[in-house]
Amino acid sequence: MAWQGNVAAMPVQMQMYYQGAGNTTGTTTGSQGEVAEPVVNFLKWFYHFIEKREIYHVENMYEDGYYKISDFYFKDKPWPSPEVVQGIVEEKDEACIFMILYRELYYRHIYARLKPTLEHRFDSYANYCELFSYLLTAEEPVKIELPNKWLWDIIEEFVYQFQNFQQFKSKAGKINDEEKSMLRDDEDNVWKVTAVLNILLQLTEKCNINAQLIAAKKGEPITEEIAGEFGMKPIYAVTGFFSLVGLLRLYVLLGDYHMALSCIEHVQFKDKDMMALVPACQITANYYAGFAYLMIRKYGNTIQLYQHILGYMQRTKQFFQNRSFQADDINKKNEQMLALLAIASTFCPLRLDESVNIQIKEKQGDKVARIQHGDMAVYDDLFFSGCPKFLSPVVSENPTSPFGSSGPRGLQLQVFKAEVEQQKTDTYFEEFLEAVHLHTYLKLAKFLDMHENEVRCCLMAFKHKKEVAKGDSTDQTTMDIDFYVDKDMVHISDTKIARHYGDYYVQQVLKLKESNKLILGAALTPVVPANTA
Amino acid sequence: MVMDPQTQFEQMKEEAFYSMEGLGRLNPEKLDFYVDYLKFQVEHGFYDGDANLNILKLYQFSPDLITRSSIDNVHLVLAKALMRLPNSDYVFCRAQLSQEMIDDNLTKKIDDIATLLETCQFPEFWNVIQEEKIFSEMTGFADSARRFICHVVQLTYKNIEEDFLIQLLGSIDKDQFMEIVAQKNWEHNGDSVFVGHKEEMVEQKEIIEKMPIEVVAPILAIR
Repeated sequence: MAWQGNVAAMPVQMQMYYQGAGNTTGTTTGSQGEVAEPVVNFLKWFYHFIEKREIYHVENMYEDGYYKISDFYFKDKPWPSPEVVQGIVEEKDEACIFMILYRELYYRHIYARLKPTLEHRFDSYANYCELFSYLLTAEEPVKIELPNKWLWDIIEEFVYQFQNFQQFKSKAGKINDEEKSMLRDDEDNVWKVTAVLNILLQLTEKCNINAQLIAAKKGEPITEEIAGEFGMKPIYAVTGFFSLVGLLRLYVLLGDYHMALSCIEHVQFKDKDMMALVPACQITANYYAGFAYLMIRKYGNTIQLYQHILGYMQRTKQFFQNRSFQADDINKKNEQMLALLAIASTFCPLRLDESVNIQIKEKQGDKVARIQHGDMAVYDDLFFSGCPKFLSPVVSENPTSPFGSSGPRGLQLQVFKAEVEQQKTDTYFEEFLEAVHLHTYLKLAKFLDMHENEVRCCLMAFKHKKEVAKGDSTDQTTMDIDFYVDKDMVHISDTKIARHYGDYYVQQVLKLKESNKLILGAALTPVVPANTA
Repeated sequence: MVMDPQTQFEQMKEEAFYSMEGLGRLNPEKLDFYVDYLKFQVEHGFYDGDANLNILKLYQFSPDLITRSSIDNVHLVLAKALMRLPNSDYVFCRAQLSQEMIDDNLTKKIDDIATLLETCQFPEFWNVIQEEKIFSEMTGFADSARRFICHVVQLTYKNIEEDFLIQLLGSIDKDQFMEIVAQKNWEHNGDSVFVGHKEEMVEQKEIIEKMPIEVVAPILAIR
């Protein structure tokens, strides 16, 4: 596939890959067939910059070159095999850091665009072990520096490949005999959950990330005493932080919300330092943390996190447009969070930001309406749209394992459904409270067609649930409804909410600005009439 | 030399804490220790949620540890967690159970009781727990239930009728009732109990819109 673009029109950094590529169809022959000249150049420069530790160029090549070349040359086939590449860059040591990193990209590409074989899975795991070993067993901090985005992608991909492997094993019917025997003979215990957890934990401990976060919260500077020798180097500190998020994600997937939330105990979500380094990390962290809070019924926290991150995603949408694969991921997370936010907002009468409200109305409006009409089955849909792909730590070949056929997702759904049941009367109740001001139990009971004692219990349950939902969210979120009971009188609040114009106004102004730009842009471009003849 | 329970508890707590550091918490050989620790808590009325939850975690990670008596331990962990309402301990535990554990009859019963508590159907709750001896054999269970009930009453009421309150607390005798009222600093006024002022909750509020600068910034930059 020849490069169809105009080399001279490319940014300077990209042009150098095509040096000497006036012959753009030139190739280098390797054992895997021909490798196009631009790819060879890319690999040679990549190797050069990584060895010379020129992080600025490495970042450019990683964020730009790698994806562009993947798109044009390797849309549906793998990159050149590691052996071929080793020959191209003339590297003798197959365990050198460049080769380890190249293999990481090589397997990641296979997982993303193709279907990995069992051998790929085993080899990729071994490569990750080598990579993390390189970082963790070094006697003094390694000299190499890598772009933050790459470090995040490594951690995220590591957890993703583990997830993928568990899902692969659970589809017992789709595994052929050869693969089954490979799995049985596997003595290294590839992709074992304890190993994955162990690696992530060690990465966090290597740089004393929790001590660093505690100090940051207090506003203290990070000294070597706090962070340790390794923790002072960005590659360790950043990887350590990303590993915390990786752990958060893994624990949520395993249904262990307690460990998940304890991981992020010291993380400040609005932090501009660590959390803001890589947008994808921020989005992932907010999504999983919010989900954990949702499962333990602290809806206030979920709402606070999701509103903040959805607002952020709206504002930064344009930066992801040029990267289609990233935009897909981000859109997916957006949809998931809206579904979960819809759930949280029905359980917890907190006022949402206007812009978020609009999004929910657009995407989930009909479902929310059905809930308000008493259709509880909609909760299943919303839960499935929003929840992550749960895992069980142990996947046996035997389908009648103790964890049953409902699978991890089914188990979590049951936990969620218990809450839906408990909240049933609350939602029903709320509508009436909104309509009245001051009433006795008896009257309320008559309205609601409930026994007087039932009403008393409902009032208490309402208060209890709302108190739990508040969690420890610090936003100035407001309750629509509040009340207290004085013997047999229910005093209900009369909160007037002024119409919120602000968000909507800002949205409309920005839209107008966009339209103006388009019109002016169109006015300046000469329209070339098509040649007709 | 026999240690008093408090000291014994502190010791076991420390041992549990250190053995759960990092990945040590997944060490299956410590399971027996955690189970003994759990039974100690049940007998003497102490609580260590982290250690108890870890038992469930070990069952999840190493299903071959599960024996016929494991389900009893699961029940104890769940019942102990219920004692911590309104904290989220019960939900944490519930999310770690296997289908088999969930389908067990007593688990279902405990789940129903959890629902009764969460929906504040307290009179019914007191009736139902009579049916299962796990609760009567658990030191401090009734007291912790009353603690939760008082918490909810505190949230909801300004004044509450004495009869109703006694019913909520499990139809206790007058002495116990007066002790609880005194403990909570509530005022006993004849046939009702004053719990606390709540008027500020329902004051007429007008919520005025607040716009953070980051939302308005994009338009301020417009030329």
